[in-house]
Amino acid sequence: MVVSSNRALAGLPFFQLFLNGDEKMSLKDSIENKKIALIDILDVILDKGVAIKADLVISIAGVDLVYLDLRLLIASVESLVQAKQGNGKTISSEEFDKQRRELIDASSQPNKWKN
Amino acid sequence: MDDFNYLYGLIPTKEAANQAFPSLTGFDGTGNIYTFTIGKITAIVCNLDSNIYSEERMKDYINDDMDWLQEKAFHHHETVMKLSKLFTVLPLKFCTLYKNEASLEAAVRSNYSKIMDTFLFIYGNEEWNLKIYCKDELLKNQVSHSNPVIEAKRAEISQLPKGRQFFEKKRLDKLIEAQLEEEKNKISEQIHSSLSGFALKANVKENLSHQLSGKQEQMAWNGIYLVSKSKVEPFLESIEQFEKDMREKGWWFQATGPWPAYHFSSFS
Repeated sequence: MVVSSNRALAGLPFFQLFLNGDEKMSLKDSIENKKIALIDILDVILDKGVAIKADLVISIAGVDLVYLDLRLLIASVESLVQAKQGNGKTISSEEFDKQRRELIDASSQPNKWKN
Repeated sequence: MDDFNYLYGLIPTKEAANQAFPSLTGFDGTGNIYTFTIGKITAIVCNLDSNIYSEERMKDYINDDMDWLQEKAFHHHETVMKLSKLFTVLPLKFCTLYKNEASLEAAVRSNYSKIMDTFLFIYGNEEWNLKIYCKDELLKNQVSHSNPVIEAKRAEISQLPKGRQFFEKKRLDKLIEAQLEEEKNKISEQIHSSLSGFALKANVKENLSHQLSGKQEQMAWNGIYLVSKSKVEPFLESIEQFEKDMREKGWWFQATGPWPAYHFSSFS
């Protein structure tokens, strides 16, 4: 089989197309060679139906992940992001109050808590 | 203990025989990537020291080392992208490791005809990803003022005593939220269905959360399309047209590609 010449000539790892904005460029021109965000790569390279399951020893941190893959890894990415932002799983008192009010509204019970 | 085999992808042996294999550095940053022929299928692999790349160690990296994840995810991505410019690649997931060459060969042989069929299916086609985002506020406003059910409910609430109005308004807000989601889905489905007309196959993935996408707008759709090279241009033009028509209503579109056919290569 022959590989089409334009792809062979492209020579660039990837391009990403952002269609927002007011540029009046041709479509080809607007396809820019940009560094792609990690999350866009993870979204693609992790979320593939596992092709070969037999004899697979590990796939990103363990056999279980072969089957659970994206959700688990994304979860771990998410917790890393949270950890980096330093907000972990704690919620602010403001957020707590908001959730409390929502619960009260949802249950349509009079508010017994005095603010 | 043997080295593990990290499998990047599979290519037709016929294509591998037609040209020299490029010099590429492996996952550990030192070894080389090489080919391993299994009949008409050629596996593209590198060796990894099974002591260093043990399951335990990999878990630690993934859980604790965002930089490692980033570096290695980019490495996998770039390697498979380079290969896909030269060959028809059936790409493997990030971190697909086999215990040794024998186990890799056994796995390939047991899926032999499926792999061959997949080569035919993906040859000459590209995978494209389209993420659609929506500014909820604009659409919410529109939904809130154009939906007859909501309008009727609002009229009904205005007749109620003040105290009850508060709770009923809360309920109405929830109804509006539900209608908003429904509307977003309906619009996205229409776009997806229209774009699927350019594709050999299309699928829908789960939306990424705010935090993961890093975008202010909510992701309304995450679609993937296997598009014949000759139809990529009209496919992208169509996306551009949707974007033009819908921008003012708070919608925007992010198309990425071409990707190796990660989502259309499953043969399990």
